Amino acid sequence: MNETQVIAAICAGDVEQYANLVERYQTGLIIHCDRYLHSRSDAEDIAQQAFIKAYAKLSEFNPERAHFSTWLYRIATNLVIDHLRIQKHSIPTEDMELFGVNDSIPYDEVLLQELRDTVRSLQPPEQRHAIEAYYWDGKSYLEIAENMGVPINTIKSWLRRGKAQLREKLS
Amino acid sequence: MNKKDLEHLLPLARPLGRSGRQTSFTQSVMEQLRPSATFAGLLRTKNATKQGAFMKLLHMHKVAALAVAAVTTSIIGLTGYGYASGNNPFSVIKSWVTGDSVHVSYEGQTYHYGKNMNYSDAAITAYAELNTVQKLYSADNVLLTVPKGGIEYVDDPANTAPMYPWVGAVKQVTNDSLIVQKQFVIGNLASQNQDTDETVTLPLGELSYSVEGKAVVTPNSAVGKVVEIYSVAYVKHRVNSTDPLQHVTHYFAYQLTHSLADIKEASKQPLHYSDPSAQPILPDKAPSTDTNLCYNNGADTCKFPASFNATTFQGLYGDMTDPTTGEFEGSRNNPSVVGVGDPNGTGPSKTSVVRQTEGAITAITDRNFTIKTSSGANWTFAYSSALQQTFAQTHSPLKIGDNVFAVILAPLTNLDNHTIDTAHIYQMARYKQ
Repeated sequence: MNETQVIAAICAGDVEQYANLVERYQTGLIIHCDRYLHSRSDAEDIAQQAFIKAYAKLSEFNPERAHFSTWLYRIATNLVIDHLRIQKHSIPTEDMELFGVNDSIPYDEVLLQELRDTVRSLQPPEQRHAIEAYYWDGKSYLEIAENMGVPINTIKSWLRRGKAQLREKLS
Repeated sequence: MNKKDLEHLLPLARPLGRSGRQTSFTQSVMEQLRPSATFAGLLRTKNATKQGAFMKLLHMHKVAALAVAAVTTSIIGLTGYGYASGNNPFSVIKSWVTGDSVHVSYEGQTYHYGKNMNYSDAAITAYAELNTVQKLYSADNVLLTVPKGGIEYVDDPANTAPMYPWVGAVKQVTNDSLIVQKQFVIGNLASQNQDTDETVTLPLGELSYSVEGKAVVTPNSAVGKVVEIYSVAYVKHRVNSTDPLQHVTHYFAYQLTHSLADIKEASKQPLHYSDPSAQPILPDKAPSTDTNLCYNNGADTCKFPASFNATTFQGLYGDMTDPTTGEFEGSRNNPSVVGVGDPNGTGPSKTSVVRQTEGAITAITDRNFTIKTSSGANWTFAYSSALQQTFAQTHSPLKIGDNVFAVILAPLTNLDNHTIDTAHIYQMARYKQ
């Protein structure tokens, strides 16, 4: 089923289909929240809340007007802002600009497959492993650093260089 | 590709089946959803204490639209699906090897598996077979709702628990049952595959058995064969009779051409493989194609419009527009019915099913109108002159010959009723193709 069909099935009563949406977007959403919160565990909590809220409001979602991801990210962003207000933290507007939801990204399986293949071709392999662990396995910087036996800053560096390579190869 | 796009796309590019914390995260979310899944269930009639919820439902118009979309898109139909015509569906699965890569082609699509992948060729074609069987099941599941011999099946609202397909070996075929050694349960993203060992007796009276995509009488030669079993809970009733309803589980058995070992290997999560470059990108299980059978009303066909806009879809209880842009958003549901999403609700109804029907208007009075559906049945819906006048203020008046689509709540105790009062109409709309 495509995403619209999955959402329709959920609204028709097939609750279990929602797991497909959670699987698809959870890693990206956690990363999105982590950008603001700088706390992986808080980000996971907020991402969970966002999924639950999105589920409760799914009937209000109009697939003809926005991607589900756009809508989901907006919900998460609002939750993050509420969380930061409660915590009396300043809201990092620079991050919001950078990681705000982009509704216009045309993505399809061909593009995603090209991206997968490019990730797998990254050299040196440390950069590839860091990208995969962070973006695909949902691991935090700390977890990756511990697994690979290097400092967190090294992981951040590998991620930064890996993404630079990806942008170059995909441009 | 800019930085922002890359950040967005990288998580989406995660290979299917690759999961670290994902499974536990998903389970956690799903566990929190299930107890409060009222919105995804059925509907209840309004009562005085539900006024707040009722007001919220003015914004629930899209539920009905989505429910219909689900009906029209999530169920496989007869069109565009040649396998059901008697061809051997498995004969179209082709696989070949070039160098270290394996390729599978079926249903017009070709999948390629990596240089270092460690799936066997047989497992890959087994995966294709599982996909094909799922499509067959999707079609068979819908076709079962077409009344035959006066018997009609509709979804059982009291039993909505997911039933995962499983695989086993046929041990025995008796006069009234198929006895299968259940050996493997095929999970999905929310439920892991698992080995099992249990003897299951399937009543032949509620069993559809297929060999090479064709329904057959369960043959004695099935003994020893590997079968994949799907099951669905239905309410079964005899049309136009007072016979008691039966809550049944219907089984669909598909005789497989691959061994259990191949099936298990094909179902194995790529996570189990240590080398990422060896992970094949197994395709999602095949998407369904549309059906034109009405949901929970297999006697009729529904040609719901492919797109919603103010021209093609006019709600008989009003339309919704975006307050800022004025853009058409869909139709309101019947305000006399409390629908899904009621936050004060007590849970989904276990005694009513959502049914769909549509047809051309043949008569209009000041209290109701009647449509004739594709099966020739007449359905009459309460629709007062006041509602008719309100509708005419923004649209041309309802008239004989107009096509009307309806979603109703049918009490299980009165499935034969075709005269629907306002408390059981969830949504109606006039539509144009």
